[in-house]
Amino acid sequence: MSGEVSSAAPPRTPRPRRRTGARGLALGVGILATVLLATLLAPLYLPFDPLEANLPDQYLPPGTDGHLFGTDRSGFDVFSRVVYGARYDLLIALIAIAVALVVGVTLGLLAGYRGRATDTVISRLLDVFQAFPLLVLAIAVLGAFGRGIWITGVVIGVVSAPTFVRLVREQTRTIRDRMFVEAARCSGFTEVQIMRRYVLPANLGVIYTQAATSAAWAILLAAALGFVGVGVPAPLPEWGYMISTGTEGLTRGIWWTSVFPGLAIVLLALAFTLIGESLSRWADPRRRRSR
Amino acid sequence: MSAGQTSRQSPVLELHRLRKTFKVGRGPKARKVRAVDDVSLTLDKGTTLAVVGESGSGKTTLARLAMSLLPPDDGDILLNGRNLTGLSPRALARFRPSMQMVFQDPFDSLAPWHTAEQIVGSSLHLRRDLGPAERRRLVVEVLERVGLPQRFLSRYPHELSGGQAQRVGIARAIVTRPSLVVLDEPTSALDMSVQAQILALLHELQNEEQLSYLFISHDLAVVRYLADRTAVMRRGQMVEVGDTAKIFDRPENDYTRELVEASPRVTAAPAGRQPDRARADGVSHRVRKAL
Amino acid sequence: MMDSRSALLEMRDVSVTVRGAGGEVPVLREVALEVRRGELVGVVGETGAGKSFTARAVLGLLPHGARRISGSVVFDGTELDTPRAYANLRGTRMGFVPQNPRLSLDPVFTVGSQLVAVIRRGRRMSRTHARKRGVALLTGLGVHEPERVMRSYAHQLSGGLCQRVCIAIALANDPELVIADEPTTGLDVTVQRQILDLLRSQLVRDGRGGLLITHDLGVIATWCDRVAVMYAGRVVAIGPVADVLREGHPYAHGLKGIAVALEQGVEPVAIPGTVPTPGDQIEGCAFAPRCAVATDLCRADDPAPRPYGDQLVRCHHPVADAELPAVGHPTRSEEVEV
Repeated sequence: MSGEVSSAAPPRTPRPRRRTGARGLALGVGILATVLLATLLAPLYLPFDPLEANLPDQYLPPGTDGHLFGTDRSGFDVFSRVVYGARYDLLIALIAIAVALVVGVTLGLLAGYRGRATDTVISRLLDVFQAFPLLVLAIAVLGAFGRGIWITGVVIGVVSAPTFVRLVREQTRTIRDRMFVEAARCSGFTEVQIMRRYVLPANLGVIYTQAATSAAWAILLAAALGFVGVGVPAPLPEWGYMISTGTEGLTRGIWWTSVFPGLAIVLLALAFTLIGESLSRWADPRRRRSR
Repeated sequence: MSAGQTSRQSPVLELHRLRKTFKVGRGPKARKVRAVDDVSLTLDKGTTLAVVGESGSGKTTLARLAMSLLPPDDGDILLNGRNLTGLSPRALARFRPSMQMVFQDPFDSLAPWHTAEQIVGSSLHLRRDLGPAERRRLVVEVLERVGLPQRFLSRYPHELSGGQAQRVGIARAIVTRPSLVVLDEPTSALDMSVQAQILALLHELQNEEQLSYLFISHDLAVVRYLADRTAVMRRGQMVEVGDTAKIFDRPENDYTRELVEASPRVTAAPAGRQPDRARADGVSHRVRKAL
Repeated sequence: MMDSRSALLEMRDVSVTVRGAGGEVPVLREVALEVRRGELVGVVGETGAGKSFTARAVLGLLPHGARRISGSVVFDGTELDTPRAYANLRGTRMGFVPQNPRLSLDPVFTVGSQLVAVIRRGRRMSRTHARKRGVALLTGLGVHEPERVMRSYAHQLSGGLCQRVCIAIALANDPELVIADEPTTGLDVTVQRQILDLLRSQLVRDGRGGLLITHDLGVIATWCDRVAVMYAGRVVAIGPVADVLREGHPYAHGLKGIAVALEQGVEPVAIPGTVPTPGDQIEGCAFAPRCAVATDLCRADDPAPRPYGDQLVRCHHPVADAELPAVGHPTRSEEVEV
């Protein structure tokens, strides 16, 4: 086949200059670092103990008596609990992403690259797995294995993994037949080395983007699990649990118990998305550098 | 060219009665296609053997067999007298540096996220005796041999023109000082004016390094310049092998003659057009009758 | 030899730009060419020279982001300046054979139903009659089992058969002008020969005409009457094929030299450097940086078209056949950095 490319689409059309994404990355990392620092140093500066109930101070509106975000039904200081809760939600998100990446990317690479029987087995297993309503599955597993931060993170990770498997599998199938993979084989790389050096990098873009989405989603899922009461155990200030218990006052105009933890979730999700987007842009040299 | 003085040496590549069958389709509709059917060829040191044929003739399968990227169903592949058939991928890795390949589409065969230096260096990854400085020196040297000065080291493929990218591909192939280079349509994706540059480069490298080329092509024009001997394939079988000049000027096989006559030539025109026109008018006469 | 056959298509100084990074990028610069009745005109050039844009400008089908900023296209005496002017031409009086036949056929309909639809668009006719005509067209194009092909989907047919179907669609309503954009790229040479023989025989009779876009000089030499050589968005030489290939523009001469050398199996004299990409800064003659006979004049002043024998060339120093200077120098040349 002659490769004369029609002049309608010359291969080296000057690409529109894109922002390198450095600004987005800085903002995302900045938010994340601030949240992390705030929550780790929380015991040093928080005026109220997030685990100490004070029933008489129930439902104080924001700003009263030094309660920046007000108090909830049990008289807990909402600000302290939001700040303190970040450590649980962050940890859950990170565990979930780590699990989803390791499981999802590995299976996706194997299924996409090896094809044939490996692909069939993995794809069928995935079909079966995804046939269950995932939230119900998560609830069932957590119900059986008990509650806790680690187990919640792992379960959310496993539930998020199929998305990675499918994405990576699809992408890998298009990469597998590219000639640079064949060239790597000619250079004497083993199949595992080829997957790592030539196939995985082609996937990084989608992986970063999906990881960001999944991290944000993991926090929401953790919140949902907390909401139905199988996530993080009760007194701990996990955001989902806070929202779920906080909503009961909404009809009476008590908004601060649920809105502030909600905003916190949005903030973290935003940070993850910013980081993921910039990393995925950086993963492609054509978008990274333009002459 | 140089065939005369080196013919006594043992051949670089011997293909002996190779067979390869592929299964096409699935289930009851599956049928077998003989991609390579009882093909034997020898390539002498410092010479070029062209394998020409149309799509589906099996020439690409033959190239992959010669590179041991694909195991033959039957037959033997000897590289410098050493039988490579049946070797494990691990055992084959030792021979990889002595057989290299240049691909048709230079952009598809270079990993987009590697620089020219990384791409050429990847061929040397089995050379554990090389330090980083030494490796770099070799890469710089070979890039200069193919006409790319040092400033190209840090270029990504999308920052190269088609001709420059193919030079990188050639550098990757010759940096290991291979005895066999398989050229898989190395110029058919390039512009006319660049094609000549790359062909001249390949010719020059062959003369200086005593390289042996197995040159796969559907373009007879290119073959005539570079190849000492030419093999014509059709439907998996070898229909004619011989000195290139003889194949072109005195083809014995009907199919070879058809192929040679069908390839459009600048020199044959416009006289060559007359019989075509007469024949085509015969067809158009049929059209008129049919309508 | 100039002849007095009347012009079927005229492009007069057509310029086209594409919206790109940092503004409008010129892809066609004052392209002028003419297709007369009864001739097949070739357009040859390398990547980015503007061949496909030329075809699309004639058809009024410029891709998104591209627009004609000046010049005119005149078809059989009518200026094509509005979309309405094209409406009743394409598919009836103008046929188009695309570069990639398989991709240009609709995968979810049989090729027969697509052919029938085009035939019925051109003239009132029952489905059965249209079908008969479709079978006849395919038979005329050397298709052995036209009925079976009509019932097939594009993915079930070989590239050669898909291209014949596309040619049948282009010829369905006896168009006066057929524009073929690399119609045989990617096809085997034996198939290429059949298809171009057919296309040519269909066009040169009855005062029809054709524009054949290709990157292959051999195709031009074998099947075309006249040729326009494009470089960096310009037609740099246009005239009878034999004349253009014999002498005149150094670029055409250089390309021909390469083709001839390869055919004879001798070392080609390469043209150094690379083709400019649309958007590159061009001063003077675009070919000057790669040209062996370029002078300061060439680097400063972009030459206007001037007659040279039966050709028009955009060159300050056209090379005569007798001089036959080597264009460029034997390579190992570094490519000019873009």
